[in-house]
Amino acid sequence: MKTLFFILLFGINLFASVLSENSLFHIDAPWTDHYGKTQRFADLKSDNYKVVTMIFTSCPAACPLMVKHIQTLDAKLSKEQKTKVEFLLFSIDPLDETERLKAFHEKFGLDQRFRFLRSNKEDVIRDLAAVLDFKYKKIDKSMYSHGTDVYLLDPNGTIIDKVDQSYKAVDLIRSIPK
Amino acid sequence: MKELCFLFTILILAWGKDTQAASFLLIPDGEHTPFLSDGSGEIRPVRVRSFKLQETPVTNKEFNDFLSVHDRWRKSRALSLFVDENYLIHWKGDLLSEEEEQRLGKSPVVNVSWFAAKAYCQSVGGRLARIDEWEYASDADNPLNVKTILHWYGSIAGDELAAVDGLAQGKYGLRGMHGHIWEWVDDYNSVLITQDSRNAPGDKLEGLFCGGGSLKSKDATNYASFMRHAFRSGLSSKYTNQLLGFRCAKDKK
Repeated sequence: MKTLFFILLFGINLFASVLSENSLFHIDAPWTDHYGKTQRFADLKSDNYKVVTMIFTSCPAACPLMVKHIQTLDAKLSKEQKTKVEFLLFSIDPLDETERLKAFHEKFGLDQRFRFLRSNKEDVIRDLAAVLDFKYKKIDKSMYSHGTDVYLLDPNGTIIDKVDQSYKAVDLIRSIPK
Repeated sequence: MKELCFLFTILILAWGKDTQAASFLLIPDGEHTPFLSDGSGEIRPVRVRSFKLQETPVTNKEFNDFLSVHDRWRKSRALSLFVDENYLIHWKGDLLSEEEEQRLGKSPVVNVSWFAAKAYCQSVGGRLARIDEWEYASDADNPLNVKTILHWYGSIAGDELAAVDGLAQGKYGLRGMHGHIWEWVDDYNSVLITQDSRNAPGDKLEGLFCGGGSLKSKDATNYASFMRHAFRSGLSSKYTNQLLGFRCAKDKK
């Protein structure tokens, strides 16, 4: 039992020392993806690079464009790179439901490397926007003004690159190892 | 009996905690016309529901009391994800020394990030005020306040900040809302001004913001409000500044 305890303790320490101070995986808040699976933000950690942005599904123009721009980036990735990258699109609208995210995902014909995530807590959404410095403002029910920044996280969760307009998302390829 | 005793102790503790923090004043229901349009094209008045706001900005002493319990926000421990390198730079150590408490204790705490300010407010059962609430409560359009602010902008000297209890009271009894420090708001990241829009509002914004092409201000000559909104638009969540502090809000129960 004692041994197990030490192994656990050592494991936790190891994990803590790997996570840099700047890592977004210090965030604990729960997010639900378009399959309906809920997990802590910290548990999104994997060996992959992550392309991250924020959208909302009832967005008339900008968001579909943003998704398209991110698809363009994906199309430019080499076979090698494709296996190392995933795409996380977080909703700024607490009213976005799993079904709507799923429909959005299907509409664009995206594969499993693309995930839409939502939270019904405004506070959780604003916290994530804050670590990204993503700007948005609620105008009306399910209507927002927002930036179109796209970010690249390394496997450790540190923001290593960013573009301030989604049509430049393809530029993020410069920071993804070949 | 034991349970009663326990309950009583909790009550005393809760009461004691509440009195440590600056008092919350009730801000009545009302309407506020935002300075900037929300991107929908027109500037419409928004309803501000009654809420509570602290009479004074949070002081160094109050923030120190918070840190004595919540040590993960001390500057030696706070993660760089949440604070920049100048976090509490005006304090020598993790907590106020006796000398610092004498000198700075009653002055507003500055050099704190949005995350740290938010954590403090949560610890007193509150939150940061939203922009509309802050602007409404501060009576920002009152010409007298505009004058105060412009005078302040022109004379910022880097002197030590005055004690909060001596600051002039504004419309709802709030002290030092203008002409003293900048204050964090919860939705600091909702001001969609970019480098481009400051120079040329209009078409350049279209690609940047969903609906942002129509960003307008209600009174472009109100330089004081423009400065405050432009300052907010330049903020990032872990940023700290020697003139940037905060006070907490609470929902009206």
